[in-house]
Amino acid sequence: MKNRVRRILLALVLCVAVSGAALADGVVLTPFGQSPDAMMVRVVLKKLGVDGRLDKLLEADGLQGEQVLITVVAGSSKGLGEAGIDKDAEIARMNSVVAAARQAGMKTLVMHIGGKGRRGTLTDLFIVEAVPMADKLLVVEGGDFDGLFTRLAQEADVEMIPAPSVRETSGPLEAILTEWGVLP
Amino acid sequence: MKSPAKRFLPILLSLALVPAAHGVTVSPVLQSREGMVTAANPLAAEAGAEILEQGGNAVDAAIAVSLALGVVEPYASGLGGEGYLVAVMADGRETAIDFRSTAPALATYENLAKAGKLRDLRYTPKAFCVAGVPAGIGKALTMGSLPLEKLAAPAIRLAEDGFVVNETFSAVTMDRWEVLYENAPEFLNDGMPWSAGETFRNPALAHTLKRMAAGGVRVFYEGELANSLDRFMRQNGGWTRKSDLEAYRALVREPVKGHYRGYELSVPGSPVGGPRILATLNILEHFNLGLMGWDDPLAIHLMQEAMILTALDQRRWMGDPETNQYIPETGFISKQYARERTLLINLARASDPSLWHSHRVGDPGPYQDAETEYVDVVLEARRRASVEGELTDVPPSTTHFSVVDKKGNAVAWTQTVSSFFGTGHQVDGYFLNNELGNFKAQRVEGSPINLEPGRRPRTTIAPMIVKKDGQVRWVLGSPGAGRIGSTLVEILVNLIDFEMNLEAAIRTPKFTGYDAYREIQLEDEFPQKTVELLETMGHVVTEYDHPDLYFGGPNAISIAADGLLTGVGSIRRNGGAAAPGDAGE
Repeated sequence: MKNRVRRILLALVLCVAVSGAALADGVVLTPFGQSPDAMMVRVVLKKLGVDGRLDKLLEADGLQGEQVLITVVAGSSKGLGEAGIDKDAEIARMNSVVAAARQAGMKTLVMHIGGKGRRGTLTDLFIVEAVPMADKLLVVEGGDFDGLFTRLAQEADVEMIPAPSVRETSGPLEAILTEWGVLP
Repeated sequence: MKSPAKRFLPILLSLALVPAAHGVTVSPVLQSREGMVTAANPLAAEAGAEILEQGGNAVDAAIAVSLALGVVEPYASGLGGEGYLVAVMADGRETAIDFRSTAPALATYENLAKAGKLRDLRYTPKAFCVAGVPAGIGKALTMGSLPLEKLAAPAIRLAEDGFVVNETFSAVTMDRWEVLYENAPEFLNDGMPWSAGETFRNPALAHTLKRMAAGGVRVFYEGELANSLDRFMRQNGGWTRKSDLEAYRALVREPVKGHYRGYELSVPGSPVGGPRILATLNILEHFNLGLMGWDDPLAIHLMQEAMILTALDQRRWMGDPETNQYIPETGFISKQYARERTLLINLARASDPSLWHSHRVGDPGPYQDAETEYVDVVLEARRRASVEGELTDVPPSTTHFSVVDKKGNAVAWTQTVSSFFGTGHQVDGYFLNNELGNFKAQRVEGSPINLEPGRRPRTTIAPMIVKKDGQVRWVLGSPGAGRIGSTLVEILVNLIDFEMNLEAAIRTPKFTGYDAYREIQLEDEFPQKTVELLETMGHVVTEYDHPDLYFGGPNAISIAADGLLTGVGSIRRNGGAAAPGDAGE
């Protein structure tokens, strides 16, 4: 009986170890605008088997050799306030992070997952800055209700991939991360 | 200054009329002579209109709306929440039902000291105050004509069959995602927020509503639902017990009355925001706002200064009359006291926010006596009281709906779970409010909102009914926390002083006037010159998009002299109006 319990425990430990090891890394996440949306993307990534490192205030020297930078754009006055920065400092932060990522040969994915409800003066300010930074753009469709993303993506010659909802970003996200070598 | 009629024409009236499935018509703005319901979600408005169509009166319809909102707007109100309603019946009876929540017996400062800071408990079961919505419905049923089983049917149908999520539902779920992911992951869509266009179902809430419909509202306080909540609280460290639920009662009160330029207002009394609205209007009555306009910086300045004065008084003096010996509500809303307060307004200069709490809190006490004249009080130069303790803003959640039936019965009903999604915890399909945060975090000598078991916290809600020459003219109210008072005062001034129609009065950009905000926050459709002059007068101005949900979501009804009802659903919250039959003349 004791041996049986021991075997089960050992199997459980192995399972945990194997599943932990199965999580791919290589992705670093940061919000652009300090909304909590990047945390949702982290949950989507986990379901895809990707352990995305989330750093709300990622700086250029905070990159750790990842392959992909994902920045989730949405302005939050509350989030900026809690982070102790203003919109100009946030834009400057992202410019320097993306420049460093480019120099390191990383790909940058810009995401907007909040739909129409996550659009407004502050968010639009960040969107205008973010889209030209992207190698690809993944947008939950409601967020492009007025064609802003479509127009900016065309102007910056960035491929824009639509998703019907936050939950359904997982399919395109999986395809992008596979193309960029994070997922097999 | 621009005419609001030119900028905010009622363009929606002829658009988007939707004959709904249950013999009613739904639209953002609607006209009818058969009855009208406006609510923050068109599906809830439709539920009320369906009851009117079946022969129910305004109170019946309001109950159906209350229950339906708990399904389609679970973030703003529900069985686990509380509220206040004002009803004016066609036969002249006027009633206010106070179904505000109460602190449970274990919610004491002694237990709070052991548990941590009040602010840190916001999203835990400890923040729950005993819910009043079911008891409020129970009291309202005595004024209705249909059984609860029938009134709950639309809500049960919505919960069981599901409904298509709108932008507001999606945006709020996204905003509160972190709390929900932690406390109620089962509410989410596979761990993610609900997106507009997806179908949301709540079978647990349908089951709960069926139990209440069959067994009556006391099932929530004494039956299986009470046992279930008690069990949840014990297992999760909450303070509410079945004994608290058993002790809870909604209270029937007289509405508080006030007058503004010949209009009669019926509002709920302390500890909610009705008296402050009246006190503000009493001050504004000394200025001829009708000569100004909605975007005149002088009008904005006067209104903001008046609202700051009344917010300071509300914070110092208003509280639960059941558990406080001294609430000078009569003095607060007296015309004489308003004159004393008016003396403090400098026409050319904004008051200094750093002096608000030390130098501008008034004392309405002497005006409790109707004979008191302000001249005598001012001559005595009484020393002012001061506000102690921290300033807290209240969250932007809550929901308001209005109902008028074809006989002229009218109901203004505001309900809330405090923060959006309250504590973020769900029991039996409904969310638990977090009203405990509306008490003082620490005992402050003389404060009317010190935490005390059985006490109702103070909030800003103010459902109201406005009459002219004895006839109901408008039914209104709004969510919006610290913006409720300012938004409602501005709508009333727009209607009465600026003679706007209801839709324009609601749509016109709003601004804040509340002591928790040291600046004027305003929607960005005000002319740049207006903003510049306000800044020159010493105001700090912060602009928001127009329209922004932050400034509330009034759902209101106007009644013309010939009986024509116009319903306006909340423009800032995807709300809707619904009427029985094929409306939309």
